Amino acid sequence: MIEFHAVSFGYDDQETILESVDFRILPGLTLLVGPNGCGKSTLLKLAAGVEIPDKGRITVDGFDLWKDEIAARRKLAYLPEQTDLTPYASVKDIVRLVCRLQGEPAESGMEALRFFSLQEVSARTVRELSLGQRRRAVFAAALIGRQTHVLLDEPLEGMDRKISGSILAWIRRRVESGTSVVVVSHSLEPFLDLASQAITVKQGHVLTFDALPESPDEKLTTLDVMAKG
Amino acid sequence: MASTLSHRTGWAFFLFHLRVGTRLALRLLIPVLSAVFFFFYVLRPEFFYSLIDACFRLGFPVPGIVSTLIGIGTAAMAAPRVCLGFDGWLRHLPGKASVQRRLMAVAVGIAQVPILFVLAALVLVAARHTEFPAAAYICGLPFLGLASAYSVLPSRKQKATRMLAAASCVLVASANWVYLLAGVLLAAAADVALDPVYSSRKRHRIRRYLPTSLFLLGISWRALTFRLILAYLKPLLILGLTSIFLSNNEIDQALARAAVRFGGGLSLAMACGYLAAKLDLRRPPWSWARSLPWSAGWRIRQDAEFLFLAMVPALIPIGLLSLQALWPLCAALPALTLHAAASMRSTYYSRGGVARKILIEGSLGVILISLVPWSAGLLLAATPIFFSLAARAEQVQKVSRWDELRHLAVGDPLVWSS
Repeated sequence: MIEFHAVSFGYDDQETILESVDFRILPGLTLLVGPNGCGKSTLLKLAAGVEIPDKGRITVDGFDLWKDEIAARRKLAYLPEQTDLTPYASVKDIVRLVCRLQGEPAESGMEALRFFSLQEVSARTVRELSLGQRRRAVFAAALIGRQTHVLLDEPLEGMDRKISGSILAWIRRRVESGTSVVVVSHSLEPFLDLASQAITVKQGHVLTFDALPESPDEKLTTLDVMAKG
Repeated sequence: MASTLSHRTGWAFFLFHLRVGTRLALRLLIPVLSAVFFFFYVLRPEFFYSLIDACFRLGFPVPGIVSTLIGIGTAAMAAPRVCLGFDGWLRHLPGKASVQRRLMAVAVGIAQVPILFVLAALVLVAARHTEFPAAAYICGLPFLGLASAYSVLPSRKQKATRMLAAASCVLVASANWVYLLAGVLLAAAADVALDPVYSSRKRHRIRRYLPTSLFLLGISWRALTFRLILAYLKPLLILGLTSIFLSNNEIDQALARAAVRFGGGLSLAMACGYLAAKLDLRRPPWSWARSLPWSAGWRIRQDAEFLFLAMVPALIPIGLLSLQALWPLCAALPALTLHAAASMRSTYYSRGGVARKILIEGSLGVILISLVPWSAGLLLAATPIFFSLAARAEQVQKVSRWDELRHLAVGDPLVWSS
């Protein structure tokens, strides 16, 4: 379980994105919704250990994200919105790195590349890839291993219908196996039937809905209201 | 268990950064070797011997400062390519921030190997002809690589680390065993002082709104800024050679003016090509802007005006060489800048890019103006034709097409040539 304990965060002194928030992300699919610029991606970056909180602490299954760095991060898979990968690393380098870190055989890395049809460009460095290929490469890295928390920022953005379908099927499998999957997305419909929790950020506070309505229409209405802020 | 885990993740990160560093080093190897061979054969080995001799004869801290500038310059080029993602995807992976940061320093150090190798080779060769402690200097080079990496690694609190690392660079490259030891200690202190957590979060800079009439000019200025100065370096070299030619040969006035027209014209073509290429890379065609109520001619005019204004400082040294030779070049300048603006839009499939195209085509014009000065008047008269051709090139370009060849060679702001 990812838990935020009195977390405050801002990009500068003038504006606070989060102000002493306490919440936890439960197993299942959690939708992180809200209007543009409300702090969804920032919240995900904090949960992934990309940004360090100004105050408070974040734990992943009891491990502090900034004190037990390795133990906490081994349980995370993260797909950022912007694929800021090292330009001189090849796709194979990235996949090998994640395989080694997660203690997975190299074959599971190749499997992830096959999932995104990236085998043929695996020897290319990141700077030789198109933006779509970069995004698929970083998604392939998120597929490796059996992390208990998967954080996805706009996972379907820029993906074709075939891959989108495969991604949704993969998310379903992970949710059914007890993984907590957090998805930031403006399109709610693809995740509607799987979503069990919803989170939004409003004026520095995090609002969580642990029990979304069962009926799809009511669920969509609730999420729609949250997404519109 | 935790220790094994830590070692395993450390090893995985080491292999990753080793590969990244090696790839960067290989990328740097060819330009470095080419430069060395070029200067070795053009300036002759004696030049290097006397340079190194002079450098070491001046004593501490001159060799250290010179080596530091080279080391930090190379590290500053390598660091953004190694550290990209340290505050993003790479950071979420299971590894300690401090370990990752050290390995990034190693990667930046490895990327510098070609330069350090060349320094070592030059010093070794020069040591045969002059006397100085080459062994101490060469032993300090690996530490120079690491310390210079520490001076450029991003961190939240950089000032202290940068000062310690820069001081360490100067000491380890001072060809003195005692200084070397002190430098290593300072490098260790820089490692301790460097905050492992890095965030690219920045205060938002408040920029003034650009008036519409100067919009593209302002964007072009923001895209180039200090690179404008770099554009004048190569032309100055050509003008320097022209000046040497004039002072070493007794030639009549007409021929001297022709020489200045040739050298000056070539320098203008080179500067204009460089700026157009940089502008094409750093401020590529902006698809969305084409939907705004601006004509193609207006967009071309803005680019041509920017290039024209940027060329004005390059005219000063030509005028100093010969004022009479300046006028034909001034007359040809509008055509050159319009042609450059058009080339930025029409060299889509050219691997050589804008700079080479303008240099080659500009050279032909320069030869013509050198031999027949009044032909510059024709070029001036043909300015409207150049303008309409450039506006047409602006209209027909395919701005939103993605091309792999272009992406590999010049489209990526992270390539060395950017």
